[in-house]
Amino acid sequence: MSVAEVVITGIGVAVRMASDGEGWFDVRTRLGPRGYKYLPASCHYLLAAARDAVADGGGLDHAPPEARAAVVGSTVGLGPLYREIEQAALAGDGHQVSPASAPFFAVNAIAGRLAADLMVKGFTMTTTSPGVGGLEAVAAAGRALALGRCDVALAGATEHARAGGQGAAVLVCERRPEALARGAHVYGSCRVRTAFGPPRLVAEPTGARRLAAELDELLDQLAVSPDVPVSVMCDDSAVGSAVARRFPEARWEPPDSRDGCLRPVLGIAAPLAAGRQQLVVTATTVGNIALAHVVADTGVGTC
Amino acid sequence: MTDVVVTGLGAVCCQGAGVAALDRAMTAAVAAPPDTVPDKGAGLRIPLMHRAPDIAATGHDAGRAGRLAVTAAAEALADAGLTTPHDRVVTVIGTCHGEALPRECRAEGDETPAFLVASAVADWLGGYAANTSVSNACAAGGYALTLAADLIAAGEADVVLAGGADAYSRVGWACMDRMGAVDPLCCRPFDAHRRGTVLGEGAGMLVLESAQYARARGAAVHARFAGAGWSCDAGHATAPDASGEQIERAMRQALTAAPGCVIPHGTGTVLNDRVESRALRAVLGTRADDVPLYSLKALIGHTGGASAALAAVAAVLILAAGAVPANIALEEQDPTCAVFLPQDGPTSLRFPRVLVNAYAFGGNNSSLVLESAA
Repeated sequence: MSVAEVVITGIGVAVRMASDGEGWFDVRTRLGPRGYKYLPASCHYLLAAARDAVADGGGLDHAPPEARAAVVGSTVGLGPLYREIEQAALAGDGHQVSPASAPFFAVNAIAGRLAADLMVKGFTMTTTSPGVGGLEAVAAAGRALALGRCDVALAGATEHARAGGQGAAVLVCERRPEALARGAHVYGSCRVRTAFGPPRLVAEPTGARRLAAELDELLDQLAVSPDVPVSVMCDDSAVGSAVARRFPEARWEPPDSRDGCLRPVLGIAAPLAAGRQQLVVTATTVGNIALAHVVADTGVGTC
Repeated sequence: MTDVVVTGLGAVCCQGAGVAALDRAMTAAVAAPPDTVPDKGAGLRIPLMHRAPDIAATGHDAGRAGRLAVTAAAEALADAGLTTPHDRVVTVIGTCHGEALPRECRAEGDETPAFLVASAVADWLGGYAANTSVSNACAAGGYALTLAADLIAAGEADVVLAGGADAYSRVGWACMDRMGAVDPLCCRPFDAHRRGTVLGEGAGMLVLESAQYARARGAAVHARFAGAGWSCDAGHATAPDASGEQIERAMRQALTAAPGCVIPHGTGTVLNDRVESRALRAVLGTRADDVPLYSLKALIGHTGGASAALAAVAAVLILAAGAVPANIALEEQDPTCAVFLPQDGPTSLRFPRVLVNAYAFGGNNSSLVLESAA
């Protein structure tokens, strides 16, 4: 089938930097004085990043609410909240769980809140594969656009780990012809492919070779040329190590599982914003693998 | 558009393991009474659930939800005539709670992801194809099945093992209990006396593939995936938009021809059943009084992320039988839920397609249609 190219026209990031303290995100300043205080932190970050992305992309007025979509990856975004709820239940205080918090036992309530904030009525989807949920969200947004399920999609990740990553990154995605027709600034494109490495098989030489062949096939599908810089975000598990070995010259950024699926999305947002090509590779101990090929548009301004 | 077909089915629920167990239960039309939640420490006010049978660990799964998922996946794959390990089978698994008990048993500070159900299935499958976990709460199975069909339509996959699975979660049950969303008696959608839902455990899996791929390998086709629609209310965190506008839109997207049966989302929650009933009347128009609904949750409880996948399995069984089984008898149908719920015996399927609805917190709405392959 003929697939329309999907491009990124807006980028929003709200992330805790190493130098930031606990109070790095001020809800009132970033989101407003009412209606946000009791939402989970991962919801705060997502709303802030999405608003920034939408503003950067020139707003959403070009797409009616029914043509807007949001696809959000989150794998540890509600961990601290779940811990609080469980402790309350075990202490016999389950009835004291905040009514504002209770709906968030379902992780997709985060994307639901985003939908209400930006009038997203096309659909929302929440992807939760360990480590790669954010890149899966970008892939799912691209597919939905190509199949005509929406005209604009917000795609990204949000996480909130007490001792790990905190923040969100959101990309505004749309089909290139429509983006150009409305005069949007096009950062470039990002194509994602995913795979799986069965941990026990990959730990053996035969399985590792089979995985390497699968990675080669994905690289062919993504049309990655050998000179593209590669950023490897793989842990030191059997799967992570096997994937990392396929890219011996790459910059290796070992992730912390507590970072969830946010860092690979930041890994594609940065080269898009800087106007350069990049291949982002991520793999996790349970077997999920994703490759994202960023191709920045040339001859356009960068932010 | 690529023609997508269903070639394999698998199911586990409180009525037993296997599609045959679900089929027998649908024919018998006798609901199992809810079980007591086996977790006294959770302090639930209404500690009810529909518990799936215990299944021994296989070594590939992280916990109870993974075991349910792998059991249903193995049945679906065998039914499709496929074997493990299989390199070309992509997996898309919906789950609301994820692998809840291991998470809840973890030490303080261990924030390893809980969503390990899909990866457990992929690990069992032993292949290298893509694997995705979708967590659109109680509609997760519907989104997973449609995403699977989209992967085939986009040319990214030939064959996809897709569905949903959920097991007991202390956090999930505690929050539903906190919100007053649990019926103290049983799950009785569309009944005038309903007071909420009763959650359950289960897994439903289907093998979806392109018709071309199925034909090439000589696979028996159970049904066609005839259409799907998604929408979002963009409103309240838990309550459906009372206008039903968006759930109506999802149904219209999915339907390309008249349905012979509807398996509604129908949870037993007062407002949800009423809004869905009104939307169905708007979509079905003058046929609304004649199109039978099959209220699956009255039989097996609300299995969360598995519910739409189990409903899809039930839809294929209905298509195969050419008849809609009798619904679990209602004490008194809610007059504000003006839908056709035959309870006296099977009803002939006038049109060979079944509409499956699935809705969720966050205003997520999914509808899909399965059609006879004949």
